[in-house]
Amino acid sequence: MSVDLTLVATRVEEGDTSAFREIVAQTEARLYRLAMRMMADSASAEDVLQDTYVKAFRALRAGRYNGESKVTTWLHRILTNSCIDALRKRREQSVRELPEPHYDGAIPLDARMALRELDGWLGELPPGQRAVVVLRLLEGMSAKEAARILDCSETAVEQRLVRARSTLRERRAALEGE
Amino acid sequence: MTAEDRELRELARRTDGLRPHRGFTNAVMAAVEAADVEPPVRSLRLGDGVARSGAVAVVLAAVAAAACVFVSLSAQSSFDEQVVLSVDTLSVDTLEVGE
Repeated sequence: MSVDLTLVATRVEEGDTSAFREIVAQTEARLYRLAMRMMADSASAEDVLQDTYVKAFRALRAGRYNGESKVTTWLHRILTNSCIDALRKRREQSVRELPEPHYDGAIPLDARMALRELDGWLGELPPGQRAVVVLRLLEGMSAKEAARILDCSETAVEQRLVRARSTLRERRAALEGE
Repeated sequence: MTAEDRELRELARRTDGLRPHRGFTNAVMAAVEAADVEPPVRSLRLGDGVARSGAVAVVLAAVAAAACVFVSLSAQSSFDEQVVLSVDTLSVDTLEVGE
């Protein structure tokens, strides 16, 4: 059943906290997958996603959602920015301080291995470039959609993708040379 | 499409089935309800209060400074007047050259 999330958001803004459950139920699967591909670890992904929903709820209550973009696009934007911030903090930590990736028991083994491989590929990219790769190549979004989420121009998205591809190519060449 | 793109798309396919665990929605709603009860952290920042009361504080400080200057000047003027009145005679000694 398709639900107009803009109307649900208006109910939340007017004080109906329980209506927010509808927003979570309608969006959590897509957002969780995006968070997992960005963070490659279930504990971090769940933390960032939960934080995203709390931020969104507070923004709705404060009347800071202006309805210019769809609720789903707006949530994607909050989540992507939160992931970029979390990845920047992770990069500032030394390798010894970093916890081992943690995966929820319900995640199939093949998906876990894929997430590890993915982190191996994307781990060296700056968080902003990683976000572009995840949105464009893994989530299958157009440059226009990615630009709307990252709040930048389509040209900027494409430039970041070119730089990211170049880094990934170098990594592949290095691996093949070993 | 580059070889790297193909490899990443294959990893995307293998992670397509990822779903949050069953209790996730309830955990999010519990956090949201807690956020609904507690005041947002932003309203507790000192800077916000200073920003709101800043203009009033500047006006009050200016009035207080002006009052201090006025009291100080009037006290000085009254002191000078008392000094002049307390002098009974004023004598000037002159020294003639060549004496």
